Amino acid sequence: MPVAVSLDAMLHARRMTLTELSEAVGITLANLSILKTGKAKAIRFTTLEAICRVLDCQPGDLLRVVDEDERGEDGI
Amino acid sequence: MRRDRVLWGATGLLRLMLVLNIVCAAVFALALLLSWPMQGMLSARLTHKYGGTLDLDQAVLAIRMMLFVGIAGGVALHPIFSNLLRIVATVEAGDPFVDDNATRLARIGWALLALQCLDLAFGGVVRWISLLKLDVTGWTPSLGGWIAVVMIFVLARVFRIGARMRDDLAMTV
Repeated sequence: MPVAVSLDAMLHARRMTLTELSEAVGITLANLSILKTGKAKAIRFTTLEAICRVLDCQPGDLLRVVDEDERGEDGI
Repeated sequence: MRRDRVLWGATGLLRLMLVLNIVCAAVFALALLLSWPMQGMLSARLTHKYGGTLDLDQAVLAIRMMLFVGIAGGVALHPIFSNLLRIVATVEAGDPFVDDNATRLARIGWALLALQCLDLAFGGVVRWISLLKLDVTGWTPSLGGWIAVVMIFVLARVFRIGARMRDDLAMTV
């Protein structure tokens, strides 16, 4: 079942760039880019927690299960 | 990037052993083939050294068996060197924890098992030759070899599971 990552929308809402998030959470820009573009196969709880703390949101704000036909729309 | 000295040495040594093994197996094969056209000369040499009481047919057959075991040993050794060379190449390339290397290790394990079985056959031939009162070096079963066979198969399994775990972790953020 595909899981969409809404990192792009959340960054936009927080007026933050991926580079700034990368510096704030201590995760490489390359890895955050993988997450943002939906190429990641898995996400560690520690990564999720760090991103949520910086973006002041909940995991559910970043991840959502979508149907197959929605693939490719939002970082899936 | 500067090449690792250990890997450089291992590659050179493995290549040398691979070539030497092929040469030795070829020499054994040639000697075995020549043992038929040159049987008369061989029998004469054996009679000269051990006297007329020697069972020449049995002695020549035992020598041929020894050469055959030597050829089979060379065939069994070849995949050990070739697969080790491929494994070393993946280490040099920076990505050794792959499923292919687990398969290569398992192949090395099978080759070692074949060598151990050939060692038993060699022991039998040595016993036979000693019963014929021919000069022959002694033989003792190789316990270390059997332990190595088990160890390689276990390591191959560990490697395979490790490679799969690494695959699972790939693209994990």
